[in-house]
Amino acid sequence: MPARADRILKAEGGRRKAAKSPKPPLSAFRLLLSAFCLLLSALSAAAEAPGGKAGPRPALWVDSDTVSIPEPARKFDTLHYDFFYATFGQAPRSFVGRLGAKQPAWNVNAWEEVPDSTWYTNRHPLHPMTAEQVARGANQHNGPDLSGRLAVLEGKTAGTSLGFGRTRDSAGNVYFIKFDSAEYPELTTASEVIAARFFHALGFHVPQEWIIYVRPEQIEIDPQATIWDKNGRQRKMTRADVEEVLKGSARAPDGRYRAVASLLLPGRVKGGFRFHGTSRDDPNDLIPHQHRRELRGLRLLSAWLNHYDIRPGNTMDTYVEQDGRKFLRHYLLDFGSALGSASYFPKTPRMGFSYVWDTREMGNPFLTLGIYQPRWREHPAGVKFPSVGRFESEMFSPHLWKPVLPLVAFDYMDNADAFWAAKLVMSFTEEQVRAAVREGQLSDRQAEEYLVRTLLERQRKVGWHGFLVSAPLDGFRLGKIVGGEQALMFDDLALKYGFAEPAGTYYVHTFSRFGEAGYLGRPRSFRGHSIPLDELMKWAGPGGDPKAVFTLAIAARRAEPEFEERWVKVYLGREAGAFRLLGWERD
Amino acid sequence: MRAPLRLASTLLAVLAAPHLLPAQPPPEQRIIDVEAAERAKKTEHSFRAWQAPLLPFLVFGKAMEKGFIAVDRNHLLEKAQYYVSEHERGFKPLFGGLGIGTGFALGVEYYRNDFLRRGGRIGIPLRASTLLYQDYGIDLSLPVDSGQCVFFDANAHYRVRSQDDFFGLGNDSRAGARTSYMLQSRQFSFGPRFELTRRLRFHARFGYNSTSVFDGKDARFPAITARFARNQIPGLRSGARLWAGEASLIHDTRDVPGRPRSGGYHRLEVGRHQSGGSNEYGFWRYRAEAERYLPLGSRNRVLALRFLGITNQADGASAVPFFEQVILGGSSTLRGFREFRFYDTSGVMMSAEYRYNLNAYADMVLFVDQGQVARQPGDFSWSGLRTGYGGGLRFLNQAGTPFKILLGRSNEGTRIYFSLGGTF
Repeated sequence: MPARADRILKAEGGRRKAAKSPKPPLSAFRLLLSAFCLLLSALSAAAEAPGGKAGPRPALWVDSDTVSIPEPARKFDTLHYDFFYATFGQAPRSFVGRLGAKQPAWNVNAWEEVPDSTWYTNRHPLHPMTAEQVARGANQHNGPDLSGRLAVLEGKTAGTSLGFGRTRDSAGNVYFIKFDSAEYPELTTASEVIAARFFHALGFHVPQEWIIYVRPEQIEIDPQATIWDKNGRQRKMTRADVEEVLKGSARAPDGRYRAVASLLLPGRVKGGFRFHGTSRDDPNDLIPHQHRRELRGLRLLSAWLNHYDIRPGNTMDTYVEQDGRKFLRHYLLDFGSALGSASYFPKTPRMGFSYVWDTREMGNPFLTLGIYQPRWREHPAGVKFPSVGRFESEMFSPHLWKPVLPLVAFDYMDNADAFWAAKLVMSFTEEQVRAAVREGQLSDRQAEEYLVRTLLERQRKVGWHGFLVSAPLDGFRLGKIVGGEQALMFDDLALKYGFAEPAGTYYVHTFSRFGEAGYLGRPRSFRGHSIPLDELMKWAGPGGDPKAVFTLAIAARRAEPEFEERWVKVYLGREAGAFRLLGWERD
Repeated sequence: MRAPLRLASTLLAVLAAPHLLPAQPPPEQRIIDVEAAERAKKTEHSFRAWQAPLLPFLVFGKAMEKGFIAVDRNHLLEKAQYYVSEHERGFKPLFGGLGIGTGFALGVEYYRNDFLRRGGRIGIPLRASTLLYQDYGIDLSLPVDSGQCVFFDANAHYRVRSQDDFFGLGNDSRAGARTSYMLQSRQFSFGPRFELTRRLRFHARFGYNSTSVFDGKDARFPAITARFARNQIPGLRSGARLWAGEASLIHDTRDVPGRPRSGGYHRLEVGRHQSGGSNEYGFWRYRAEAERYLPLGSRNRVLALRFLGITNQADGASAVPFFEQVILGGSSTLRGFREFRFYDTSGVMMSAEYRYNLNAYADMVLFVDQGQVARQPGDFSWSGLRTGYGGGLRFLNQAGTPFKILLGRSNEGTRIYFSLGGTF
């Protein structure tokens, strides 16, 4: 073992010894609190068994949740109720989520990935996308036909941004149209399109969206078009309503208006989904949403893209028909408040750092009589480019990032979910990031460059966080090393992305029959990214029970003090005298 | 004939070589134990015994959800906004506006904007509160010049204050001597208003005020005449009918008047009040008021300081009716004491308030108020200052403080104040 590794091992040993110092006796308060938490956990866990099984998980890449179901009723969301419910009503559930032992996500397969479902589709990096594919996003054609007129079928009924509701192009397709405000040209439309491209590549269902340029005379009003005016009255839409929208919208020097066009989602709209529990009227929906990895990990994905306005009202279920089956598909919507935008104006300094009503955030100023104020409030980031809004990377902390409202699924994010999300985020190359940002069609090159730089800096922070809280070892596979010996190979993402130095990194492993103590005694250390398996096979015995499962636990030890020792358990079975890979699991 | 043959040949082929059958789609699998998950879902959506104590909250939550959805779907907030905001003309509801300790007040106002000329406004407010305080009147404001720098203001009101408190005159009045009185007043006034600069204003006002005094309607306390002789308290016997002329100069440098973080508000006022046809009441009123807002290293921490000094200087044998005197106590003046706690012809009050930001919608407040009343400014003494202190929350919106909750304490006990608005 190299001398440096020895030093690290000694230091680690010292640290572990120090950590074993006697704990103070439990006070009555702590006992009561523990009992309370146990009770709450027991109550909440009573219905939460199906995902918590130990050992190798199912080797599935598709979670078949597309069984035909009766058409569910339309659900309606309201920001006001969401605010009260999420801020005050959900507090106990989130409390349990944070305090209680968190269950691992239920919909995780043998390879620690999320199988495809009506919620999520594995795209990049499992099926690597080119920069062009990232840039194209969910779009399947070239956007609205602007050779003719756009007929507005209804005024905009939701959200704060300027635009029109359903609007039909000359090809007969229906879109939703959103404009930029006159004060902040390109802000809303660029944020919407760029974030949609990323969320699509990350695996979520999003609408097809394009940036378009329209002349005022191209916009006509359908004779049946209605609008809810600002006085809360529904009436026939008039040309004055169109002019009113255009009056507040940014206009290009050539007289055209820049807008984002979102294609109407396929299927019948059924309302947004919640970030906890299951839908009563969707029999396919069996996994409580707080136990879906893609929704837990969405916290870090949203943090990267500063998708502050993620909430039930900005999601959508649609009742679709595919291959003769009718079921619900789940979408993320409305990215106009992503990046530096907050709809039609830049984000305020608070956004991304605090919920609308954040008791915890208020606690420190309250207790210190205002002497402590968070940095974002004392020295808020400025708006460097009107088309980018308030978007920065210096104060950004992925694990402290907050959306507009507390979401239960986000509170349930555990280290393995964080690693999954960080791995996704880190998989984007600079070229892919640039390609997605270019889709925002920012006219200011400096603004575009700033946006790319900031995204890349935030990406590093997300990766750093995800790889710190969980063992960044991934991509386990069986192969042969020199001499034909079977070996387990893996990737160290901390090294791959330059978060740790190879010279200061070595690995340790133990081997055991599943559920039993390891045979190797203390962990064995090694360098390189492969573990020869012949010796382990000798111990396991090539001819034993073919159903037996063995656990090869691996951890990295590094010179960088920020990295703690975290383990990955790789499950192996036996087949024809050799090991076969059954999957892996993060501690 | 061909169909049975085809069927028979297929059967033979299957029996001979079953692997030649067309491949069946793989069984659909879920990543979870479906039976267990279905049981869990059933449990989730069913009522559990341990939820029984939470039933009222669950019902309330459901009702709130339905209510909010109905509000949103029917755009009721926009409708409400339409009805409470002003348009060219119409009626609008009024909330509060009758002062502190008057109960919950509601009303309606007929208004007309651009009345007579652009920028002009006429309003006819009608207000009443749960404690039977009333205010009915007419307010007129007309710009005199096209630049809208000079205005002519006029108003006429009939007011009833059904149960204001009176504890006696002077700084040493006893808290236990609380009585109740009712004022009924008819007044009109008019005068010019000059918007000299964006920060400097000058007001002049001339008017008449006829006030009658009756026993108060608060049955919990004795009527004012039961404890104080009519000739002992100026104005108690028959009220007062006063002509008044006032002029005031206002310098306002606050950054956001409703929720200031820096700047100040300064006001000087002088007024002459004279009873018609007699010299029973005749006095000059001088008023000086200053507010300063000092950021303490950050806009999130503000020290707000306030000084208010008022003196009424009566002519010779004349007096100042008690309801026209300086009144201290309550949430807008001397916190920690009851509303209308101290009456006298002169008064001084100082406040220091430390405000710090909790979030975008709330400020925490810690305050100390000191004040005293006396017959003459020369009678003020350090030992006579009455002190109140406390803290609370100010809820904020973009324009100001729509609502605040304060807890004040003094040597007369602890008081909680809920009040709408309030710039200081």
